[in-house]
Amino acid sequence: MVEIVVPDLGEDVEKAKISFWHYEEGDKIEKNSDIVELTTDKATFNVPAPETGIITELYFEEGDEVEVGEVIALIDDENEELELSEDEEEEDTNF
Amino acid sequence: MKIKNFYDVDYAEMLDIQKKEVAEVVNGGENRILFPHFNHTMTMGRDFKDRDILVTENILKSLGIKLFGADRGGNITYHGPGQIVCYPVINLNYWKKDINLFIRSIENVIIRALAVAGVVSVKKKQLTGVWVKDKKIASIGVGFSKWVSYHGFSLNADPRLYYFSIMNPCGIKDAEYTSIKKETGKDFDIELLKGYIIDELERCFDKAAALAY
Repeated sequence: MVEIVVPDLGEDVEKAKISFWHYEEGDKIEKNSDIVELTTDKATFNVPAPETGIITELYFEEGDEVEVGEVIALIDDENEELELSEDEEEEDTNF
Repeated sequence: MKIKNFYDVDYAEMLDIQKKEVAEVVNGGENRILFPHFNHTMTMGRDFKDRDILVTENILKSLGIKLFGADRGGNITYHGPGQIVCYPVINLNYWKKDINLFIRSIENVIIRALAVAGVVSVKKKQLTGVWVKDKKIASIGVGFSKWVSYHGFSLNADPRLYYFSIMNPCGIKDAEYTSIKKETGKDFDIELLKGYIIDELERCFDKAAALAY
């Protein structure tokens, strides 16, 4: 299992809001694809998935406030249903 | 840095173009500065609330203003002729991964470019953007994907300021806006001003410059 954590967004940013999830629970997500968009005062920030896997938990609703370092989702990177792409080095066009 | 101008571009079309430009930088491409030149447009960031548009949809239509949602932070703003809109697409993985530092640095870039145009401007605590006394002259709203920036700022050279009065720009009630023309009484060549902005952005986001700016 891989935890999705609100990353360090820099100085003086301790909280952010979940704008929206790009995926739903049960979806397969590729490594480096953006899983969630966070919003701070004047910026949006997309958090990429660290591994390919099946999203098993989205712990927060859209509009919820989250803190830096908080676990917001869980990805199962060892799921049997996973058909890992043979070409993981393919260029990332997700944005 | 690559410099790209987009004249008479539609906002929705520009969103697609920007997406491709950002993907190129995410995949290791050179940092770039995009200058879209929009016709009358209002864009709504993630903090937009309906109450911040002060006129009806019909009035917007008769004024020729198109309304778009934008995947950036902040509230509503206006873009149109007489304004410089600048999207610095910068890979912060080679700079400093810090949202606020990036925004404050963009403010510095604008302040330095305005100084060349003869306008003294300042930052304000808790109010992102660039100000001439209590009047706003530049607005900022950005987004990041894999620490590559998109969207950016708009700077008023000589737009019709009336358009800012039909909304609460950036969600600020009774906000007053100004322009270089209003402050100096002179016309300032937009292309020349863009040149100053490019100089400052290159100085600021040069890989080696990092935090020296």
